[in-house]
Amino acid sequence: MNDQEPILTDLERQLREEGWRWSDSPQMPSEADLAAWVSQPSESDAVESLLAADATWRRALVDMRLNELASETNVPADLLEQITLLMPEPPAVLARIGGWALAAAACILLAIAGWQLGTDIASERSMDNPLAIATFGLSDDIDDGNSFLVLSTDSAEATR
Amino acid sequence: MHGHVWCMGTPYQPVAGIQRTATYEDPLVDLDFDACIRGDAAAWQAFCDQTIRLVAASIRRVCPTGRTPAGEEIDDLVQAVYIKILRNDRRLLRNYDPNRSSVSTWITLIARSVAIDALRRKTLDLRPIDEAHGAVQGESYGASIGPVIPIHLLTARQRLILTMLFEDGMEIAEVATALDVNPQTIRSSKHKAMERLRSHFKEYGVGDAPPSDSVEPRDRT
Repeated sequence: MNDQEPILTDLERQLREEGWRWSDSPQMPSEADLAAWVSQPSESDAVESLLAADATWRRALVDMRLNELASETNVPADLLEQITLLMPEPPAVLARIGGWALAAAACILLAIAGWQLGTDIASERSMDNPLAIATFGLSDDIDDGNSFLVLSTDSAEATR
Repeated sequence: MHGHVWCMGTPYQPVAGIQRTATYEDPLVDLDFDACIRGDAAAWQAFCDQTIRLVAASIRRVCPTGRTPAGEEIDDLVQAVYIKILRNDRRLLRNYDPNRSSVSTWITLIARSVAIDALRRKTLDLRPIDEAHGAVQGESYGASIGPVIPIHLLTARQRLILTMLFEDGMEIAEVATALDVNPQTIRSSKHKAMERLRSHFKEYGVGDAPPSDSVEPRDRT
Protein backbone atom coordinates (compact mmCIF):
# COMPACT_ATOMS: atom_id res chain seq x y z
CA MET A 1 0.00 0.00 0.00
CA ASN A 2 1.31 3.48 -0.87
CA ASP A 3 1.41 5.62 2.25
CA GLN A 4 1.30 8.82 0.23
CA GLU A 5 -2.02 8.05 -1.48
CA PRO A 6 -3.80 5.44 0.61
CA ILE A 7 -6.64 3.59 -0.93
CA LEU A 8 -9.36 3.90 1.66
CA THR A 9 -12.01 1.28 2.01
CA ASP A 10 -15.53 2.29 2.87
CA LEU A 11 -15.09 1.11 6.44
CA GLU A 12 -11.80 2.92 6.87
CA ARG A 13 -13.24 6.10 5.43
CA GLN A 14 -16.18 5.88 7.78
CA LEU A 15 -13.97 5.33 10.81
CA ARG A 16 -11.75 8.24 9.85
CA GLU A 17 -14.63 10.60 9.23
CA GLU A 18 -17.14 9.59 11.86
CA GLY A 19 -14.92 8.10 14.52
CA TRP A 20 -16.02 5.25 16.74
CA ARG A 21 -16.59 4.31 20.36
CA TRP A 22 -14.99 1.54 22.34
CA SER A 23 -17.44 -0.59 24.26
CA ASP A 24 -15.56 -0.38 27.58
CA SER A 25 -13.27 1.98 29.46
CA PRO A 26 -9.82 0.70 30.36
CA GLN A 27 -8.42 0.66 33.87
CA MET A 28 -5.73 3.18 34.70
CA PRO A 29 -2.31 1.48 34.83
CA SER A 30 0.27 2.44 37.42
CA GLU A 31 2.84 5.17 36.93
CA ALA A 32 5.50 2.46 36.95
CA ASP A 33 3.82 0.69 34.02
CA LEU A 34 3.53 3.94 32.11
CA ALA A 35 7.16 4.80 32.75
CA ALA A 36 8.24 1.32 31.68
CA TRP A 37 6.33 1.65 28.40
CA VAL A 38 8.03 4.95 27.68
CA SER A 39 11.46 3.59 28.55
CA GLN A 40 11.43 0.23 26.82
CA PRO A 41 10.12 -0.99 23.46
CA SER A 42 7.62 -3.53 24.78
CA GLU A 43 3.92 -4.15 24.51
CA SER A 44 1.75 -3.58 27.52
CA ASP A 45 -1.94 -4.31 27.18
CA ALA A 46 -2.83 -2.13 30.14
CA VAL A 47 -0.89 0.88 28.90
CA GLU A 48 -1.86 0.55 25.26
CA SER A 49 -5.52 0.09 26.16
CA LEU A 50 -5.34 3.41 27.98
CA LEU A 51 -3.55 5.08 25.10
CA ALA A 52 -6.09 3.80 22.59
CA ALA A 53 -8.92 5.30 24.65
CA ASP A 54 -7.40 8.51 26.02
CA ALA A 55 -5.99 11.08 23.61
CA THR A 56 -4.34 13.16 26.33
CA TRP A 57 -2.36 10.29 27.72
CA ARG A 58 -1.58 9.02 24.24
CA ARG A 59 -0.07 12.32 23.21
CA ALA A 60 1.82 12.69 26.47
CA LEU A 61 3.43 9.26 26.33
CA VAL A 62 4.20 9.33 22.63
CA ASP A 63 5.71 12.76 23.12
CA MET A 64 7.93 11.37 25.86
CA ARG A 65 8.97 8.50 23.61
CA LEU A 66 9.64 10.55 20.53
CA ASN A 67 11.18 13.59 22.16
CA GLU A 68 13.56 14.24 24.99
CA LEU A 69 12.12 14.84 28.42
CA ALA A 70 11.55 18.49 29.19
CA SER A 71 14.70 20.25 30.21
CA GLU A 72 14.87 21.60 33.71
CA THR A 73 13.47 24.97 34.61
CA ASN A 74 14.10 27.27 37.53
CA VAL A 75 11.81 27.18 40.54
CA PRO A 76 11.38 29.60 43.45
CA ALA A 77 13.49 28.83 46.50
CA ASP A 78 10.50 29.03 48.83
CA LEU A 79 8.73 26.34 46.80
CA LEU A 80 11.66 23.97 47.29
CA GLU A 81 11.62 24.75 51.00
CA GLN A 82 7.89 24.03 51.26
CA ILE A 83 8.30 20.71 49.52
CA THR A 84 11.21 19.74 51.73
CA LEU A 85 9.01 20.27 54.77
CA LEU A 86 6.41 17.83 53.46
CA MET A 87 8.37 14.90 54.85
CA PRO A 88 7.20 14.24 58.45
CA GLU A 89 9.97 14.29 61.02
CA PRO A 90 10.84 10.87 62.50
CA PRO A 91 11.03 10.55 66.33
CA ALA A 92 14.33 11.57 67.94
CA VAL A 93 17.01 8.91 68.18
CA LEU A 94 17.26 9.21 71.94
CA ALA A 95 13.52 8.90 72.23
CA ARG A 96 13.56 5.73 70.14
CA ILE A 97 16.40 4.22 72.19
CA GLY A 98 14.78 5.28 75.45
CA GLY A 99 11.56 3.64 74.47
CA TRP A 100 13.18 0.32 73.73
CA ALA A 101 15.26 0.47 76.90
CA LEU A 102 12.19 1.20 78.96
CA ALA A 103 10.36 -1.73 77.45
CA ALA A 104 13.30 -4.06 78.09
CA ALA A 105 13.62 -2.89 81.68
CA ALA A 106 9.93 -3.42 82.27
CA CYS A 107 10.16 -6.98 80.94
CA ILE A 108 13.10 -7.73 83.21
CA LEU A 109 11.35 -6.31 86.24
CA LEU A 110 8.24 -8.32 85.50
CA ALA A 111 10.30 -11.47 85.16
CA ILE A 112 12.05 -10.87 88.49
CA ALA A 113 8.81 -10.02 90.23
CA GLY A 114 7.15 -13.08 88.84
CA TRP A 115 9.97 -15.35 89.96
CA GLN A 116 10.06 -13.83 93.42
CA LEU A 117 6.31 -14.11 93.81
CA GLY A 118 6.34 -17.68 92.71
CA THR A 119 9.13 -18.53 95.15
CA ASP A 120 7.37 -16.88 98.09
CA ILE A 121 4.08 -18.61 97.39
CA ALA A 122 5.73 -22.01 97.15
CA SER A 123 7.56 -21.52 100.45
CA GLU A 124 4.39 -20.40 102.22
CA ARG A 125 2.45 -23.38 100.97
CA SER A 126 5.08 -25.81 102.07
CA MET A 127 5.07 -24.28 105.58
CA ASP A 128 1.31 -24.63 105.82
CA ASN A 129 1.34 -28.27 104.81
CA PRO A 130 1.38 -30.48 107.97
CA LEU A 131 2.13 -33.57 105.94
CA ALA A 132 5.17 -31.92 104.48
CA ILE A 133 6.27 -30.82 107.92
CA ALA A 134 5.83 -34.25 109.37
CA THR A 135 7.50 -36.02 106.48
CA PHE A 136 10.43 -33.73 105.99
CA GLY A 137 10.69 -32.32 109.50
CA LEU A 138 10.15 -28.78 108.32
CA SER A 139 9.53 -26.04 110.92
CA ASP A 140 9.69 -22.32 111.33
CA ASP A 141 13.10 -22.66 112.95
CA ILE A 142 14.65 -23.98 109.84
CA ASP A 143 16.25 -21.29 107.74
CA ASP A 144 17.79 -23.63 105.24
CA GLY A 145 15.34 -24.91 102.71
CA ASN A 146 17.55 -27.93 102.03
CA SER A 147 17.90 -29.03 105.66
CA PHE A 148 15.36 -31.82 105.29
CA LEU A 149 17.93 -33.55 103.18
CA VAL A 150 20.40 -33.62 106.05
CA LEU A 151 20.57 -36.94 107.77
CA SER A 152 19.59 -36.51 111.41
CA THR A 153 20.82 -39.03 113.90
CA ASP A 154 17.82 -38.35 116.07
CA SER A 155 15.38 -39.15 113.39
CA ALA A 156 13.51 -42.36 113.68
CA GLU A 157 14.20 -43.18 110.14
CA ALA A 158 17.93 -42.94 110.70
CA THR A 159 17.79 -46.04 112.87
CA ARG A 160 16.11 -48.22 110.24
CA MET B 1 -9.35 22.80 19.99
CA HIS B 2 -11.18 21.68 23.11
CA GLY B 3 -10.77 22.86 26.71
CA HIS B 4 -7.76 21.02 27.97
CA VAL B 5 -6.05 20.40 24.66
CA TRP B 6 -5.10 24.04 24.16
CA CYS B 7 -2.50 23.50 26.86
CA MET B 8 -0.93 20.60 24.99
CA GLY B 9 -0.13 22.33 21.77
CA THR B 10 -0.08 20.53 18.45
CA PRO B 11 0.60 16.82 18.86
CA TYR B 12 4.13 15.61 18.15
CA GLN B 13 5.50 19.08 17.65
CA PRO B 14 7.67 21.01 20.10
CA VAL B 15 5.83 23.40 22.38
CA ALA B 16 7.09 26.91 21.82
CA GLY B 17 9.39 28.27 24.49
CA ILE B 18 10.48 24.95 25.95
CA GLN B 19 14.21 24.46 25.75
CA ARG B 20 15.38 21.02 24.73
CA THR B 21 18.60 19.24 25.45
CA ALA B 22 20.33 17.59 22.54
CA THR B 23 20.86 14.33 24.42
CA TYR B 24 19.29 13.47 27.74
CA GLU B 25 21.25 11.56 30.32
CA ASP B 26 19.67 10.73 33.62
CA PRO B 27 21.57 12.68 36.30
CA LEU B 28 19.29 11.34 38.97
CA VAL B 29 21.30 8.22 39.67
CA ASP B 30 22.48 8.92 43.21
CA LEU B 31 19.12 9.42 44.88
CA ASP B 32 18.73 7.34 48.01
CA PHE B 33 15.20 5.97 47.76
CA ASP B 34 15.60 3.75 50.79
CA ALA B 35 16.56 6.67 52.99
CA CYS B 36 13.60 8.66 51.73
CA ILE B 37 11.30 5.76 52.52
CA ARG B 38 12.72 5.63 56.05
CA GLY B 39 11.97 9.31 56.43
CA ASP B 40 15.52 10.62 56.32
CA ALA B 41 15.21 14.38 56.06
CA ALA B 42 18.56 14.91 54.37
CA ALA B 43 17.83 12.28 51.72
CA TRP B 44 14.40 13.78 51.07
CA GLN B 45 15.87 17.23 50.72
CA ALA B 46 18.40 15.92 48.20
CA PHE B 47 15.60 14.13 46.34
CA CYS B 48 13.53 17.30 46.14
CA ASP B 49 16.47 19.46 45.17
CA GLN B 50 17.45 17.19 42.29
CA THR B 51 13.99 16.51 40.91
CA ILE B 52 12.00 19.70 41.39
CA ARG B 53 13.21 21.45 38.25
CA LEU B 54 12.36 18.47 36.05
CA VAL B 55 8.96 18.19 37.72
CA ALA B 56 8.22 21.85 37.11
CA ALA B 57 9.33 21.59 33.49
CA SER B 58 7.19 18.50 32.90
CA ILE B 59 4.13 20.23 34.31
CA ARG B 60 4.82 23.36 32.31
CA ARG B 61 4.98 21.24 29.18
CA VAL B 62 1.38 20.17 29.81
CA CYS B 63 0.33 23.66 30.90
CA PRO B 64 2.57 26.13 29.08
CA THR B 65 0.53 29.10 30.27
CA GLY B 66 1.40 28.29 33.86
CA ARG B 67 -2.18 27.87 34.98
CA THR B 68 -4.87 25.24 34.62
CA PRO B 69 -8.44 26.01 33.53
CA ALA B 70 -9.45 25.61 37.18
CA GLY B 71 -7.03 28.35 38.25
CA GLU B 72 -4.32 26.19 39.77
CA GLU B 73 -0.80 27.42 39.30
CA ILE B 74 2.34 25.51 38.47
CA ASP B 75 3.64 25.78 42.04
CA ASP B 76 0.47 24.15 43.36
CA LEU B 77 0.85 21.28 40.95
CA VAL B 78 4.53 20.84 41.79
CA GLN B 79 3.62 20.55 45.44
CA ALA B 80 0.84 18.09 44.54
CA VAL B 81 3.42 15.87 42.83
CA TYR B 82 5.48 15.47 46.00
CA ILE B 83 2.41 15.00 48.14
CA LYS B 84 1.45 12.18 45.81
CA ILE B 85 4.92 10.67 46.14
CA LEU B 86 4.65 10.69 49.95
CA ARG B 87 1.04 9.50 50.06
CA ASN B 88 0.09 6.06 51.41
CA ASP B 89 3.34 5.54 53.30
CA ARG B 90 5.50 6.60 50.35
CA ARG B 91 3.93 3.97 48.11
CA LEU B 92 5.35 5.37 44.88
CA LEU B 93 8.86 5.44 46.29
CA ARG B 94 8.52 1.87 47.51
CA ASN B 95 7.21 0.64 44.16
CA TYR B 96 9.81 2.33 41.98
CA ASP B 97 11.81 -0.25 40.01
CA PRO B 98 15.05 1.02 38.48
CA ASN B 99 15.05 -1.95 36.08
CA ARG B 100 11.89 -0.72 34.38
CA SER B 101 12.58 2.97 33.90
CA SER B 102 14.93 5.77 34.82
CA VAL B 103 14.16 8.06 37.71
CA SER B 104 13.72 10.94 35.29
CA THR B 105 11.10 9.10 33.25
CA TRP B 106 9.36 7.87 36.38
CA ILE B 107 9.05 11.24 38.00
CA THR B 108 8.13 12.89 34.70
CA LEU B 109 5.22 10.43 34.44
CA ILE B 110 4.05 11.31 37.93
CA ALA B 111 4.28 15.01 37.16
CA ARG B 112 2.32 14.63 33.92
CA SER B 113 -0.26 12.49 35.70
CA VAL B 114 -0.85 15.25 38.25
CA ALA B 115 -0.99 17.87 35.51
CA ILE B 116 -3.45 15.90 33.39
CA ASP B 117 -5.71 15.30 36.37
CA ALA B 118 -5.58 19.02 37.16
CA LEU B 119 -6.48 19.93 33.60
CA ARG B 120 -9.51 17.67 33.76
CA ARG B 121 -10.76 18.95 37.11
CA LYS B 122 -12.53 21.86 35.42
CA THR B 123 -14.61 19.61 33.19
CA LEU B 124 -15.07 16.85 35.74
CA ASP B 125 -16.68 19.34 38.12
CA LEU B 126 -19.53 19.69 35.68
CA ARG B 127 -20.23 15.99 35.61
CA PRO B 128 -21.89 13.59 38.01
CA ILE B 129 -19.44 12.09 40.50
CA ASP B 130 -18.04 8.87 39.19
CA GLU B 131 -17.70 6.31 41.96
CA ALA B 132 -15.89 3.74 39.81
CA HIS B 133 -12.43 3.20 41.16
CA GLY B 134 -9.62 3.13 38.63
CA ALA B 135 -11.75 3.40 35.53
CA VAL B 136 -10.55 5.94 33.04
CA GLN B 137 -13.07 8.52 32.06
CA GLY B 138 -11.83 9.87 28.81
CA GLU B 139 -13.05 13.33 28.05
CA SER B 140 -15.87 13.62 25.62
CA TYR B 141 -16.86 16.79 23.85
CA GLY B 142 -19.80 15.33 22.08
CA ALA B 143 -20.29 11.61 21.60
CA SER B 144 -18.90 10.14 18.43
CA ILE B 145 -21.49 9.32 15.81
CA GLY B 146 -19.50 6.35 14.66
CA PRO B 147 -20.02 2.68 15.45
CA VAL B 148 -19.39 0.96 18.75
CA ILE B 149 -16.47 -1.45 18.59
CA PRO B 150 -16.26 -4.20 21.21
CA ILE B 151 -13.04 -3.80 23.08
CA HIS B 152 -12.33 -7.51 23.00
CA LEU B 153 -12.49 -7.61 19.20
CA LEU B 154 -9.02 -6.18 18.74
CA THR B 155 -5.84 -6.47 20.75
CA ALA B 156 -4.65 -3.44 22.68
CA ARG B 157 -1.88 -2.93 20.14
CA GLN B 158 -4.33 -3.06 17.23
CA ARG B 159 -6.63 -0.58 18.93
CA LEU B 160 -3.76 1.77 19.54
CA ILE B 161 -2.49 1.53 15.97
CA LEU B 162 -5.90 2.25 14.49
CA THR B 163 -6.38 5.16 16.86
CA MET B 164 -3.06 6.68 15.96
CA LEU B 165 -3.67 6.21 12.22
CA PHE B 166 -7.32 7.21 11.97
CA GLU B 167 -7.92 9.61 14.86
CA ASP B 168 -4.53 11.28 15.17
CA GLY B 169 -3.86 11.21 11.45
CA MET B 170 -0.37 9.84 11.84
CA GLU B 171 1.53 8.24 9.01
CA ILE B 172 2.62 4.61 9.07
CA ALA B 173 6.24 5.64 9.60
CA GLU B 174 5.35 7.93 12.50
CA VAL B 175 3.36 5.22 14.24
CA ALA B 176 6.20 2.77 13.70
CA THR B 177 8.65 5.19 15.24
CA ALA B 178 6.38 5.90 18.18
CA LEU B 179 5.88 2.21 18.89
CA ASP B 180 9.46 1.30 18.03
CA VAL B 181 8.53 -1.35 15.47
CA ASN B 182 9.03 -1.90 11.78
CA PRO B 183 6.58 -0.02 9.48
CA GLN B 184 5.61 -3.31 7.90
CA THR B 185 4.48 -4.49 11.34
CA ILE B 186 2.16 -1.50 11.51
CA ARG B 187 0.70 -2.27 8.09
CA SER B 188 0.20 -5.89 9.02
CA SER B 189 -1.48 -5.03 12.32
CA LYS B 190 -3.72 -2.51 10.60
CA HIS B 191 -4.70 -5.05 7.95
CA LYS B 192 -5.55 -7.71 10.52
CA ALA B 193 -7.52 -5.25 12.61
CA MET B 194 -9.53 -4.06 9.64
CA GLU B 195 -10.28 -7.64 8.62
CA ARG B 196 -11.65 -8.34 12.09
CA LEU B 197 -13.73 -5.20 12.01
CA ARG B 198 -15.15 -6.01 8.60
CA SER B 199 -16.14 -9.49 9.76
CA HIS B 200 -17.72 -8.05 12.86
CA PHE B 201 -19.69 -5.34 11.08
CA LYS B 202 -20.69 -7.74 8.35
CA GLU B 203 -22.34 -9.84 11.03
CA TYR B 204 -23.77 -7.08 13.20
CA GLY B 205 -23.98 -4.18 10.77
CA VAL B 206 -22.05 -0.95 11.00
CA GLY B 207 -23.48 1.35 13.65
CA ASP B 208 -25.36 -1.37 15.49
CA ALA B 209 -24.31 -1.80 19.10
CA PRO B 210 -23.09 -5.33 19.80
CA PRO B 211 -24.39 -7.23 22.81
CA SER B 212 -22.57 -5.24 25.47
CA ASP B 213 -23.53 -3.84 28.88
CA SER B 214 -21.64 -0.57 28.74
CA VAL B 215 -20.97 1.95 26.08
CA GLU B 216 -18.64 4.78 26.95
CA PRO B 217 -18.14 7.96 24.94
CA ARG B 218 -14.54 8.03 23.90
CA ASP B 219 -12.01 10.79 24.00
CA ARG B 220 -12.18 12.47 20.66
CA THR B 221 -9.85 15.36 21.42
